Amino acid sequence: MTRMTSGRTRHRPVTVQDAAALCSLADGETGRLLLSADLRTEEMAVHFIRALNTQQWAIPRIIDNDGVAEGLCFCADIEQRNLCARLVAVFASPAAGGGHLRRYVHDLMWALPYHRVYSLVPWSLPDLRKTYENAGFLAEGVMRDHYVYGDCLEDAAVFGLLRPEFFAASKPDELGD
Amino acid sequence: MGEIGSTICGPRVALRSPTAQDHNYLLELARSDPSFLWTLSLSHAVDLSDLGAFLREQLDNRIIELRVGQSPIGYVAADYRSPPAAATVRIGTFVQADYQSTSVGIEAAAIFISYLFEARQVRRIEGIMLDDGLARIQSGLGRYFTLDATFREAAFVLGNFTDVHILSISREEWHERGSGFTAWLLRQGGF
Repeated sequence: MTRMTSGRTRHRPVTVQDAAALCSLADGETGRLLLSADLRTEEMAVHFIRALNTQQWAIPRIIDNDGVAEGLCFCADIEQRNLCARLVAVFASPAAGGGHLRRYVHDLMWALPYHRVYSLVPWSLPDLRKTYENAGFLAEGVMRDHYVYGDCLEDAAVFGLLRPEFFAASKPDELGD
Repeated sequence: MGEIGSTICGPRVALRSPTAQDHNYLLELARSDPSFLWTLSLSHAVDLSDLGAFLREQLDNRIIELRVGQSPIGYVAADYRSPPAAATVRIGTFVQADYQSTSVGIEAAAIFISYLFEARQVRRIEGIMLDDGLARIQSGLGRYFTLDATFREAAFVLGNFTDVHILSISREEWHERGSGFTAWLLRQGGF
């Protein structure tokens, strides 16, 4: 499921050659909050990519803009029993991530029978919260003190999207490949 | 909870480490009650035979047997949430059908919550409730919790997707509200 998107940006599978790009994303604003600090070394990034690629239904995709990694999306906490997964989306620029997120969710919903995807967004990333809202996710509450950064606790906004909602909101030209 | 080998006693209930004999009952609980899997963060498990091995390993760490007198009547399950520094534990009580209309499960939860806050320096305790049980828990111990989020249609139960509610209480909130809870439990004839 490698698909082209607008311009030279494409969503493609993640390989170990992307370790440096992953480190770069992990060091960015959203990456620091959403990805493990361990991923700032290429060696750990390679381990992470290998693990991610062996996880069923994780569908890791890197958003590649002419060789520059603009984002990373994958599914975690996958529950095949409940057809549910937590979506992790890291963007170099969260405010510009809406289109990428919609595209990733589109590919995800067409590739796998997920009934629900959700995300936990650190409260200090309002741009990312907006990105999820714009992508059709609904706010489902706030997990208090969910993230820990050093000595600080931070709430996480919960955003969820159900399969019927996704297809109901899809424009006709987005339905089908 | 490794050191919970010694028994914790409330007015009616006692919490103690389970034994290997509990395994089959726990596996049945895992098969029949999705709340149990949710509490222990085991919803990702697809193969229940794997789950059986996992439960055997975790008996002493995350599952506490609940007794009234000498009779085992259920379990308290607990799961330390990631990251550990958040010091958040998700707990749930699971009692036999005969005791579900009584407040012994609530009493067990209350004494275990006190134990976690006072002896284990836990910062926050979460509870999960499937949609059909929210009204029930909010008339009991749940009224002292805050409803943080509702994961819509997050559990597949008996052919339908159902909401999962996440409730939580912090140590400070427990200290503020605990006396009110004790008074409520007294009114239930619990003491």
